[in-house]
Amino acid sequence: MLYIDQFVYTNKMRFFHPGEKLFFSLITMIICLLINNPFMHLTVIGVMIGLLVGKARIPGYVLGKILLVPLVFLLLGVITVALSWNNDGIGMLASVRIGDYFLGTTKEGLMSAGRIFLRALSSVTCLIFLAFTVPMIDMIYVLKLLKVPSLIIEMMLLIYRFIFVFVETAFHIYTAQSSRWGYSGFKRSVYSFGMLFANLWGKVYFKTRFLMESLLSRGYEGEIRVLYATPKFSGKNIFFFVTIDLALIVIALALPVY
Amino acid sequence: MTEYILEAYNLEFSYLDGTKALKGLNIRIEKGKKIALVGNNGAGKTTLFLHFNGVHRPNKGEIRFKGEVINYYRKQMKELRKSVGIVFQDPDNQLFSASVYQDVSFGPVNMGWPEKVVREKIEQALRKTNTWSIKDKPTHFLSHGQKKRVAIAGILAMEPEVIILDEPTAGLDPIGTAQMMTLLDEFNQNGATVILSSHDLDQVYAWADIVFVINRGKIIAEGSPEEIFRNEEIMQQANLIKPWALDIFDYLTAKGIIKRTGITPRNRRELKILLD
Repeated sequence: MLYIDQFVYTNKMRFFHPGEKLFFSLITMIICLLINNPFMHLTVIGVMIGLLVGKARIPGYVLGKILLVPLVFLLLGVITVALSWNNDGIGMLASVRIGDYFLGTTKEGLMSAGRIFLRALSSVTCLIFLAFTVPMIDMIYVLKLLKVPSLIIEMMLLIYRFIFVFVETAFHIYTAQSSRWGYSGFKRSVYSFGMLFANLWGKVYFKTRFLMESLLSRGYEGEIRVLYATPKFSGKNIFFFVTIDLALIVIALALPVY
Repeated sequence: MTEYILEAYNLEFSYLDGTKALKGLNIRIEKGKKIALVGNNGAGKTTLFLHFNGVHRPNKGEIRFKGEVINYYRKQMKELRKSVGIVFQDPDNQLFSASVYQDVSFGPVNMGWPEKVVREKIEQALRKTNTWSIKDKPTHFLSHGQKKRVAIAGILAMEPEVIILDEPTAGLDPIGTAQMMTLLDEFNQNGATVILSSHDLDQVYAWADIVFVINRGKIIAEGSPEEIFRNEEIMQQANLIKPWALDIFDYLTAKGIIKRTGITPRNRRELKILLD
């Protein structure tokens, strides 16, 4: 998340209304989940990667790295779908004999593994599109528009901000420790990490107190009320996104699965 | 008659752990002046500041704002917190939102102003502190100096009459420090009373109208920068060092190299002019 964050705020689709991007991503994902058509799934993967690299200008290698994570999971998952076993090896494209049984893969097995893989990957690319184009700040704004309770909004606001403060604090402690040979061996590492963790909580406590003081001095009365920079809906963008989704449905209808 | 905007009498305050931070402190802040509070770490500067807008409540003594005793009722508290703004030393403790714009909006929204007014104040504050161009950046990608300016914008947007800054130049580079001091001068010229605490005594000497020395929870001296920094007894008691411009000037006049003219140089440039 910290890694993605550097690119989210500079992506070229940043100033699209976050609601447009959220709904585009969610609706496309729903289409992927409802319609089981590998051609369409491939198109979705292509469109999302195309949008991210071509329009949002996310560097290809960054996207590749991020995509690698779900890819590994997906591959491990579908392998179990592709494999099957029987006791004569008939109908298998390839098989290994284990005792009286044959472990192998059939044409149908491969096909359904491929379909599941594409379906899952296309849904994941929809989410990655969202993660790369909508910064958390804008996401919170959309949730507020959708009338999510203010308690949750406030928590998200504070957590998101302080993740960075704490990661930075932890990193400073780590640097200070390792510069004094705190991670020189396994035993020392365990000890130092324990110290880091314990001290981090102490710091959290003081941070909370200071934060409370500074909030109070700015008129805090129990509710964090803020104004959001208001993005505007653009007819052009909505048209663009709707066209893509309609095209996907057309593809799904025009190229039926045989 | 001098008009005092903030006054504190016989202020005593202990933290929950028993640390006595203020021990019968008296101070009067003149309206519209540039005021510096100097003293060691742990002398009670921050604690005093937190009393000025009602975040801390004294165990003993009273605080007056525009002559009126603070009674800690809600309505008055709101007015006080609007009128007296504190910029904290560590901007990471003050900026609670990842969005610059949201953070700056917090104060004015709390004041209950209509949205249109709030948006105007935000824009003005961001432009004054030169942070309008970074309003869409997340706070965690800003430099320390930028965070500090955003923290100031957050206070400025509430249009306080008194702006208190806890070590505004700590951790800034020389250019950043110079810009900060210019910014504070601007606030003052626009009518605000500016109070700051600092360990940079050269800076304080060059900038302040009135200097207060705080030591072990008490104000031990008050006066013009020349008066205070020439008072060796006070300087020793509070562990302060005489600003170099004043020190060199006094040395040169004692040696007869510069004639006494009644003008005391406040900074490098003024001292050089006297030497030419």
